[in-house]
Amino acid sequence: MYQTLIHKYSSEYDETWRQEKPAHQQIDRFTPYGRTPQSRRISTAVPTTRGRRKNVHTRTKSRSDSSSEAEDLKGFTNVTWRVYKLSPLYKFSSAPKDLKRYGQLLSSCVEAANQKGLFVENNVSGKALFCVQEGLKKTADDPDAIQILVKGKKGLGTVDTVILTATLCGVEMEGDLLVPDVKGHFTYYPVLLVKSTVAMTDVLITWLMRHFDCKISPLVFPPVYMAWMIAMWSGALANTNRKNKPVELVYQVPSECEGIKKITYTIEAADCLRVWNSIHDSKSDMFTEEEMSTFISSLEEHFYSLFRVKLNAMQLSCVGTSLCYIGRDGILKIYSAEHVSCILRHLTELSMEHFSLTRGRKSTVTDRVVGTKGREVCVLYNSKLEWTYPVSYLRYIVMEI
Amino acid sequence: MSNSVLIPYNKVPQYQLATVLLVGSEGLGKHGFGKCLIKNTWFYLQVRTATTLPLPVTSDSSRPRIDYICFLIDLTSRDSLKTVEESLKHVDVRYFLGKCCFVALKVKNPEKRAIFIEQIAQLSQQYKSDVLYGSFETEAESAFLAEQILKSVEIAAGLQKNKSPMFLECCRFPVAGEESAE
Repeated sequence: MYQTLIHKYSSEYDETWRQEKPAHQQIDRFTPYGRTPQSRRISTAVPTTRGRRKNVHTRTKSRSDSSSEAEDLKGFTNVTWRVYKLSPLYKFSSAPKDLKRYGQLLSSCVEAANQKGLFVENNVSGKALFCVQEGLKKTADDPDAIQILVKGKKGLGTVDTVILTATLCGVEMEGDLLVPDVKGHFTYYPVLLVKSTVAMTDVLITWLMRHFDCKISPLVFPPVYMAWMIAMWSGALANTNRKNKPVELVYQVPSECEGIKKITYTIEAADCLRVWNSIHDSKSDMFTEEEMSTFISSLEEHFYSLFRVKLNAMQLSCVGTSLCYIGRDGILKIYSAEHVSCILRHLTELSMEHFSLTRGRKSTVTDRVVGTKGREVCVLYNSKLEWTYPVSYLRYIVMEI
Repeated sequence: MSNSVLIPYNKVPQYQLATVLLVGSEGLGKHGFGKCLIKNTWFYLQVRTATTLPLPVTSDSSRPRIDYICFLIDLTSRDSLKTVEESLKHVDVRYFLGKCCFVALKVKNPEKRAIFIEQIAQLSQQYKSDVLYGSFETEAESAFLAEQILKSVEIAAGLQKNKSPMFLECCRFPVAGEESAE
């Protein structure tokens, strides 16, 4: 059944792609969703003139009752999530009977995996539940957030415990990334949060990929984005009464320096707030790139003046503020319930940026292929953007350059 | 001249020899790339490297005329961008007429990127110079970059007959007179 699914939608896609191909010099690139590239580069989806503008957390677009919402979203806090980004899901519906059916299918999949002996501890039974999560749907564009729970017995215990918690969501999605003709068939959830063991997570992800014909990959945060997040959120105090967690930056020292592997730079939250206030005007909603680079460079220069260690030549690997802790490989831990939606909103934005890169770009004759790396091809566009594609895309590229 | 600015035309050019200056922070592989340039060149070339400008004034008299400057930026380190920006202040404006370029390195690791690629594009727009993207990881990639740079170096050093870097700069942007005539 899954074979026919792939075949049906992929032939649908080939046709739409061929129809959309106009004159050969300027071409609207349309990448079929199923064969998403293994790696994507970040670039602004919309051209910006000076700096990239990002929303600061202080104002959310829709009005919501923050106290009740904080209660609903408490389940997100103090849990270490792994963040994944998804391509659109084919024929996913959030009607209750469909959700029940998905639950049964996932349970059987978990059972099968159990019998194959994939799990270290033998779970006697695994039951999966899909339900709609309240409190995350902020605007009419957002799809209903879905929560997936897998319950089972761990080892020799008799009590049912939750083995896996996952949430599919998209918060305050701006703009519509799906092409109108195929919108009816696809649902787009930018972000998937999972908390579970590695084996269970693999089972869930392979099931989702097979069943809904999408591509799920970890949402990695390169040091640029972590610098953004720490600059945006150090100015926020989770709770003005309680003592806030200090702002923490963890750097990875390059291997040429012997004897030291990582540097953890911790700053008191109040001091960080003072620096932030002097850089950013608290009345404005937007946080610009200049403010971000000023903030980060001021912290790094301070460190340099004290210890003569150049932090800006090192890689940022983890970042922690009083709101949340973010690791480079897509690890997230949120401490404050009120800011869950704004953090998720930012993640949604990042994931959507990744996704929209492959759509609607115009390539011109100045593009050229720079080189190959294994099975991927690096392509330059207008000497500004830079892409890698798996070899399967080569035929599209060759036709367009 | 006690001025610390690097000037392109204050020295006598060397006969049939071009000089390239590579500016970039430590650890990028400048010396390796210099060797690669010399290996791939078809004319006489001298390569000099520096971590920052201004160059020390004391050795100024023994230094030949610098024909071309390459600013090397590592996309995984904010430090390299900062040193390049500071070095740019010590370069005479006539170098930006086709006698210098920016090279962005380590482009193949997006997960390690510490600066936005738009910042590089903005730099190149501001200084009206080319940007080349690449890396020094393999021989082939270095050779690829070397070839592009050498073509510009040859013209900048005046080794090509009837071509000057100014001619190439004129081709880059539309000339104002044409637009008004339409």
